[in-house]
Amino acid sequence: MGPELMQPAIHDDLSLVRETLDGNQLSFQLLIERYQDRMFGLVRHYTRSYVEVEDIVQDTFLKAYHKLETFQEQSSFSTWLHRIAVNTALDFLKRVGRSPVRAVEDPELMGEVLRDSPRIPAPDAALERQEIAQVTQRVLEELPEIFRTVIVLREFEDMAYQDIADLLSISIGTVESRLFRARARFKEALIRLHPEFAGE
Amino acid sequence: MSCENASALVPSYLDGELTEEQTAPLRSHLFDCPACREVAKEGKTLQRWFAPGAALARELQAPAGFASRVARRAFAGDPGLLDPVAAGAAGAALPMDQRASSESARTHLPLLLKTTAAAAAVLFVFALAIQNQSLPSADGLEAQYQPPWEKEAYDLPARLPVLPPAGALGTGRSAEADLEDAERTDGESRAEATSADGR
Repeated sequence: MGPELMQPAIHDDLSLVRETLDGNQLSFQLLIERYQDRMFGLVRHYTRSYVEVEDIVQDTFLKAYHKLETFQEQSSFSTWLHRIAVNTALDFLKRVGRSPVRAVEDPELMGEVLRDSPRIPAPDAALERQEIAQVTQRVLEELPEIFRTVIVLREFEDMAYQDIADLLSISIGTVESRLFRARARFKEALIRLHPEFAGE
Repeated sequence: MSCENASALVPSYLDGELTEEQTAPLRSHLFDCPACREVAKEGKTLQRWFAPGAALARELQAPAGFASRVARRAFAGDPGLLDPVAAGAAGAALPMDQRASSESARTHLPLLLKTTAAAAAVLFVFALAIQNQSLPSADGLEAQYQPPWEKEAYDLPARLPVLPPAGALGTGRSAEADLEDAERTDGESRAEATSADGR
């Protein structure tokens, strides 16, 4: 028997998840429509190619569908889906040889945390936002994976610390310290790659 | 509030993560402390670097029909293209016949690879043997004259006329007569060759 195409009655995420598990294809389609643009925006921070973004987002939803039975309703569907998208993007980068550096938060491996991180000026007003976005994208590509992801989730996705902690399965304290290090590394990489932006 | 405590709270403050109870004393400290205020300004400056990328990403949209296409593929059992491990795991969601075929392929893969390697080795040895057999040898060389038009006659279809030797062109002779001449010439050549061998 083919999949059901009944119009879902209730439209919250959990209802759509349950209806999808009951075999309602239209419910899953509604879930995709609800999150597809956010997923495109999220994955965009991991690759500049629109085609690759589309492939990764498509795989994200296909994985989500196949793992839907394992979805624990204690966390939000949004956080769960974000986690799959981030992992799919990182796996993709690894497979094509563009993997960001993997790092652990070991001071001996990470080097000294920059307590006095370099000062950077605000982006030049003459720069188009496209240019600024390209600069930050390039700098992010230099960062180890854990720092890049935490910046993407906080600065671009505007996620709360608790959601980031849930998504990455870490504590809020770890989110704070990781963000602190990530921002310091970002500033250091920005000045290294673009010395013209070094502050006075 | 000390400067150390204040600067530790600034990132969370800028990220909107502090409660009102935490925010009030920090605000007060920032009002009085230029050094900590500078730390907060630095954090705001960094946020300005991220704002354009965030705005552009929010403007990115999925192509038309994306959701219906992906939902259809998911319900058809498509495990996706990018992650072979996930594809294997997702095999559980495939219809039974496709899953069996996939598992069978995985089980027989080592055997298939070994068979292919053995076949390649046999082919290699066979190719070497053929190459050795076709190498020219001085034993088989004979100085035997064979008119080119006769050789041509063996290669061409029987009904096609055979070209006569250059000297015979323009004589108005028939193709049959030319063939007879050619056979006679061939017979004489063979006889000469035989007698030469006999010496």
